[in-house]
Amino acid sequence: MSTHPSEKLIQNYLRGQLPADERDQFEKQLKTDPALAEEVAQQLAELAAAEQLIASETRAWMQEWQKPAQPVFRVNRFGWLAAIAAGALLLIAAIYLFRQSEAVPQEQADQTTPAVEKPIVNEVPPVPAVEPKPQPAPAEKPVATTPKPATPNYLAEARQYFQEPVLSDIRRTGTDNNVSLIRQAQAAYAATDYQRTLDLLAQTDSLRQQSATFLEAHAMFHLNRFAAAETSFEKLVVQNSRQFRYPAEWGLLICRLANFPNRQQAFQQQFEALLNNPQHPYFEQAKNLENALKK
Amino acid sequence: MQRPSLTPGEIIDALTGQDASRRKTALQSLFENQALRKKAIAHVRRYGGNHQDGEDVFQEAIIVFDRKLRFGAWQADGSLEAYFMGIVRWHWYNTQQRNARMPVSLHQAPPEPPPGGNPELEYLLAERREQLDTLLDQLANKCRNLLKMYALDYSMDEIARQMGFANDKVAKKEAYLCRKRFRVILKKHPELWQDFIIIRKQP
Repeated sequence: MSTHPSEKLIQNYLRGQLPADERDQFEKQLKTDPALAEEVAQQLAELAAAEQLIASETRAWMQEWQKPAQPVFRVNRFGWLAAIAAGALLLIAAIYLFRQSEAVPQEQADQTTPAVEKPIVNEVPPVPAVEPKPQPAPAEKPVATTPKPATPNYLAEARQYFQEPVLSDIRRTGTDNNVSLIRQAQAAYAATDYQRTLDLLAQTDSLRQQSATFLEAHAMFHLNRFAAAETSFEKLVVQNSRQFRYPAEWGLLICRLANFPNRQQAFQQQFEALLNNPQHPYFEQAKNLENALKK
Repeated sequence: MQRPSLTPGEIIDALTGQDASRRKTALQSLFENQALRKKAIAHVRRYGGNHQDGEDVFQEAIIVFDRKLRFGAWQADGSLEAYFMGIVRWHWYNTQQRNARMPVSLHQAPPEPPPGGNPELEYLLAERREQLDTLLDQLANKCRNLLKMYALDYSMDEIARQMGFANDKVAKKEAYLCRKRFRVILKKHPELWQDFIIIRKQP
């Protein structure tokens, strides 16, 4: 970064805040000073990147506000009675469900809590994220099908096949405060507050920690930042993470699908490789996805 | 603007000021302004869009409006609401043209672009969004937050408070290091910014 004394001047120029005469003079200087021109172009790119971050934050806030911002229901005098009746029914249902849950044996409840240190790939077997669809007659060799342009909604398919992380499965690193933050981020993620998830992960300053990167990638996917999510998943694949490698590979594939047609080629290559590897833990899921895309 | 708690002046102050929570409140006030939302949606529906298109345009208009205000584009002699609707009209017109959903020229005269701002910046944000994302992703989350707050022109005290740094000096140093780090990344990707040098060099 330059510590050029006129940095503020450049910023004001880029923000359109220079008076006309100063702007003209500055532009004249730009035409004769290549180093300054390069500096201005780089500051422009930096400003664009920062504005992109600001816009993403605002979009995430608006997503948060969306629910309370919905129009208030207008209820007529009979509507109040209906509302009271609905409330009573909900209360009865809640009591019923509460009693049912009390009847669940303790050991069954224990089984639902995964071991902390166990690799995620072992905990989450390559079971499809959705109910398996009927399979066609098996071909001699799995062949990847390139989704045709007429196939309606890749994003919807990507969302359907996106696999949520096992949130309790975070490695402990002694008494590291980061773990606490990551756990808070997990809670935010579980509450579908994805921007807060990212904010909390930001405080950990632990991008190198694979758990944080893994969770970050998922949150970004939900915020429709597919390119960023793809990069995060890719990092874990490149690092050959013992714990997250395979889920990250699947996440990477799904991000590329969500980002169709921009990432079509990358998707196609990865998808073909996966379908040609029956030993891959996500092979069955890939087959299901292939069938869905064929439809 | 409709929300009684914030006047147009307060919205401008909050969006151009250095207080993160006031800024958020101002944006929420805009977002919850039902009269403005209805106007935006009505405009979009009148010119070939549906309700969801209208909602999308309304939300994007808030982002552009915020940016333009921070860049000092709005002059105090006009109506803030009229300025906002100018952004809505311009944004919807461009969306239609980009998507080629309808022959817009037959239905709608091209609106005036909202004054102010930086067209090169808008171009980068519209056309090179993914490239920017890829570059940003090479930064740690902490650095991304610092870059954002620096661009929002927050004071170093505010940045220190938001990021949990010990004081403003630490905030300043961290912000400097993050910007420097991002410059290193930018230099490796001249394809993102180099053509803007060429444009400027032309007489």
